[in-house]
Amino acid sequence: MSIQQVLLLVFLAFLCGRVKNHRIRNFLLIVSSFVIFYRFQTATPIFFLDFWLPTFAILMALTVWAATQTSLKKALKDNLQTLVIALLVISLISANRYLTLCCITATRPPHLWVVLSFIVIFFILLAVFVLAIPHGTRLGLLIIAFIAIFVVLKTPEFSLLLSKVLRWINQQDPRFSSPNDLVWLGISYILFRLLHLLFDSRAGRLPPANLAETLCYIFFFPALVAGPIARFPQFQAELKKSPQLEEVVEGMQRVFIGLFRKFVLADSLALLSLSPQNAPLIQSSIYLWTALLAYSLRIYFDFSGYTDIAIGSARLMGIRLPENFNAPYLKTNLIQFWSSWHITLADWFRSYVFNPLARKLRLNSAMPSWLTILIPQLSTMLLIGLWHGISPNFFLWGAWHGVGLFLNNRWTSLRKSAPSSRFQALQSFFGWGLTFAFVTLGWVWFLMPTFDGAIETFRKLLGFGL
Amino acid sequence: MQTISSTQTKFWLRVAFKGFTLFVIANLVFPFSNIDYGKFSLYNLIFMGRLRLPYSEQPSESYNVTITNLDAMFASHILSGKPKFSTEYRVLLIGDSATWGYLLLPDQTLAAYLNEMQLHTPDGKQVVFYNLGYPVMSLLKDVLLLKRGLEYQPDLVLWLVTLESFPMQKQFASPLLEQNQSEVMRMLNDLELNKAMPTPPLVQQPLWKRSLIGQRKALADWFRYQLYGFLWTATHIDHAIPDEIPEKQVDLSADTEFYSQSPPNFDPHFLAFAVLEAAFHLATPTPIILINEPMFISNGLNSQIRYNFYYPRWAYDEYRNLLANFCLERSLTCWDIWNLIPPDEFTNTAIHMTPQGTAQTAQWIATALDKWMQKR
Repeated sequence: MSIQQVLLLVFLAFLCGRVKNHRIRNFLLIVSSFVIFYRFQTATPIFFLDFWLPTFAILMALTVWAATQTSLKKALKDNLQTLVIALLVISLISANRYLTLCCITATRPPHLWVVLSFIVIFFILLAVFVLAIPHGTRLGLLIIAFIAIFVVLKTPEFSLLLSKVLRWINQQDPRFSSPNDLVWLGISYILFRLLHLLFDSRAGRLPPANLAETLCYIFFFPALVAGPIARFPQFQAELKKSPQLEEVVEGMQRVFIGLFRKFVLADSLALLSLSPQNAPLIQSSIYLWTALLAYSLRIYFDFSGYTDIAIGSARLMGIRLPENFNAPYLKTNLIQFWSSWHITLADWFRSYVFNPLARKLRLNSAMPSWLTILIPQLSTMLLIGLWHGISPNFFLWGAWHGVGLFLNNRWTSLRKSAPSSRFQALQSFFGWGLTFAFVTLGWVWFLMPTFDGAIETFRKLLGFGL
Repeated sequence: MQTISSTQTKFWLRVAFKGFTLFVIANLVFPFSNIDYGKFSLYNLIFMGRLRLPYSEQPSESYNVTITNLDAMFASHILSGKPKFSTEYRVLLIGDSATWGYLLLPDQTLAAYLNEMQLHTPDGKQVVFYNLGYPVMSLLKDVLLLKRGLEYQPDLVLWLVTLESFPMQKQFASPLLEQNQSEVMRMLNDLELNKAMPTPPLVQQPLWKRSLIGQRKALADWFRYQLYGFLWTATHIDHAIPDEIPEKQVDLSADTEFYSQSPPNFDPHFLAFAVLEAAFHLATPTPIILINEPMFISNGLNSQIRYNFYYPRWAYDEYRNLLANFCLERSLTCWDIWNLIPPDEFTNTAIHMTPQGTAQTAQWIATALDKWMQKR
């Protein structure tokens, strides 16, 4: 996001926060979120895709909402107003095509009749899907479908194939296809929220929600691009609050901190940071270590800066989003690090991957206890790694942390007694140094696109091959 | 985070107000403060000095930024970081992108190859070459950099020129000159060039443009340039060379015009020989050797009309005659090596050379320079 985009976001958040009537504010939030979604979606070489990608995301959200309802007819009747507003926004954005000062989207959107026809067909299919398929089954099918979307978008080979198909549909030359054609703004976070709704609905944990609240939750514009991933029940409760002056001041403070972290610290560190391009060119291990350290700090300030902006903007509306970072680089072991780095993502995986898997394995009495720890920890971290992209480097980064967490866990169990207070400070310092070094070295896997490149970088860090 | 009290709210509102007031004051004071921030540099202090002046089309890949603050440009150059010892014979190279080393790594430039040869003067001083080339074709730009370069006590200046730098209309057409307008105007006055060439009027920038906000891009570029010093020192890369270099144009149009000039002769005021003359006065007593740099000679379509994309044959021949006469009349040392390098050793334009072509040029210059020094 550029600084102008951030300022627009903050301004809109402030405006939304001024509306006292919650119903109207929710409508305003939906409209703002949709407009931001379409506006921030970057252009792609495939015709109209910058319009269709946000539209698909909105239709996916409507599908999830409809699928989680027990009585669709009643739900539609109660939420008709919201539905009309949502569809009206999509239509008006499409109708921008006919204005001289086109457009909200990056490129000219498709014809309105095409969009409306598509929406009609979508609703017919949605009605069939919801009415014909039992509640549990349709939720399961949607979960599978969304995971498949994740896999396609995060696997370069599948993305390329999809790009070819889309180009073929649009009568564009498929030879120019690229996995980068499918840059879908905020889709990872949207899918996490959708999956959360589906999982919780299946487990019967999802509180009753109207369409406005659901759409606000999924497309909440301050958290659209980079999270955090709030949980629906908490978000729903926050949505009912109004901002106090103190909260506005607090929100602004947080936004300024975020701007400083992102646009001053992170962007400056980016000029010193290790990258796949400069890693092979750096000629001394001291410089390589410095560049790696700069990358480690940069990724933290960049991400935590965005989170500050999101949390601060939400505070302008009186909405408290969950924290995503809690001084992760000051933690003295890896377990603590993962409780304070991208907290909402780690919590999500803890709830839907680690805990169910660990419970299941523990029931299997034949399995050694260390294995019941290693398997869920490794699987969770591998999935977190692969969430960044399905490629060997992210797999290795996940494995690095999975093994690290397991070793940390074993060490904690083996250490019978706490060290005496004389050595506690020393141990904490040593623990901090080890954790920071482990995490920082782990970024090499994350950063370098190939295994050979990562190994070469490690070798150079150790002073070999220079 | 806990909800803050109204006292704290007032506190933060006061902070915001004071911050805003200070920001406004800082903006108003900045234009009058004459802070030469460009003189402060991390180069030659914690980062290695640059081997050539800052210029970049892809900052993130070349770890370099185009900045036009002359103080900052020179402060980052290795020339500023090296005191001149009595054992050093200091030679400055000025010229266009070919001298700067476009599409060449820093160790493949003309200055780098000349330094590699470890030349010595007859009295045993080591000849050290400094690259002050800059990718703009304008003699006036060369003089501006020469004027700055002379502050570093050179013993000799090698000035590589080509016809494309001579048209009078091109002299001011560079952001480097536009952004240093007052210095250029001062220089024109000092050298009495304002009478010899049509000079654009000095435009006084409005106050807001000179404020912190107005100068934000220049300040940000300067800041980025300082930080890129780290990756420059770590990688020794200052120029991103693309994997595929576009080929120079071999087949040419049948056009005989050079800018607005038609054969057989140039308009007497078309070429900026006055700038050349002024530069020699400026440099005195430091000697300048003028070198008509190598260029690509095409054998493609219409090569009987044009030498290359830049020059019709008549214009270039006429220019060489005028240059030779200029040197002869003033007893200047001028070397004409226009056809020294074979066509294959040029890259994307008629003057940019391959590393081999540059090395060959350096070899020729080194031999000639050795002879020249022996004579002196």
